[in-house]
Amino acid sequence: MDITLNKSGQLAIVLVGGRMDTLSAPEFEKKMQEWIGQGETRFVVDFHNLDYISSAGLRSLMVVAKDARARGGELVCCALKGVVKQVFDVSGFSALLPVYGSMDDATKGG
Amino acid sequence: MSEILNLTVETNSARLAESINRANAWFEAHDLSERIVYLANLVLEEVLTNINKYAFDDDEIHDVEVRLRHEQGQLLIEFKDDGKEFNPLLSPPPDPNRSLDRSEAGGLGIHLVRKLADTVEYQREQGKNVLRVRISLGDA
Repeated sequence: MDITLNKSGQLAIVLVGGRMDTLSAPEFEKKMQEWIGQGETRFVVDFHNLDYISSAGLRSLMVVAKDARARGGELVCCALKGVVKQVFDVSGFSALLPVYGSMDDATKGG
Repeated sequence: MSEILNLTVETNSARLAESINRANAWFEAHDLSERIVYLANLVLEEVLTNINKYAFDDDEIHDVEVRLRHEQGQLLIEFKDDGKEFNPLLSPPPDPNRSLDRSEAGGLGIHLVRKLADTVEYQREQGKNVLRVRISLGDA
């Protein structure tokens, strides 16, 4: 999977792409923990290039969201599409994490 | 291209990726939609991960038989393993009232399969766990 960080003021914008599955989710978690270690706590994760997420990907997101919150920050998600969005909805993650339709909405709301 | 693909998957994650790649080549040859391919990938990953976690108490590598069948407007994915009797359909669904601070990290995979596939059936047959998952191609 692809994971890229861009800073926008206090916000850490994380662009994810490709597949977030059993094999790649640990890589996502490791990168995010590194950024948290460097002091980032306010994350906006942009899903518009993500093709696939499984429960392993959701678990990693939850671990990272809890860490960010424990440090006074937050992780919000935006631009979910197709079955990725459906996976968020049926898993209950759309209610557990703040989810926005677009990056614009996420950066205004986050 | 055959209407049936049989795979034998060893219970470790390196083999999981290889099997999913073979399955994806077969999906492509059957011209299945992006949505159906996503759902089939999710079923393969979640069920095989679940079998790895719960079916065996030892550290040995076991074989799981996986059969994909494209028939009459649906995709059938069948899993057979010789692990201990385990019906994943008896696992409780995640608590809808959980919050981020209290929610458990696990237990989601089978819930996703049950919600997104059309039917999921479990049977214990001749000392094996058999799980049959059907995905309708109707809205493909």
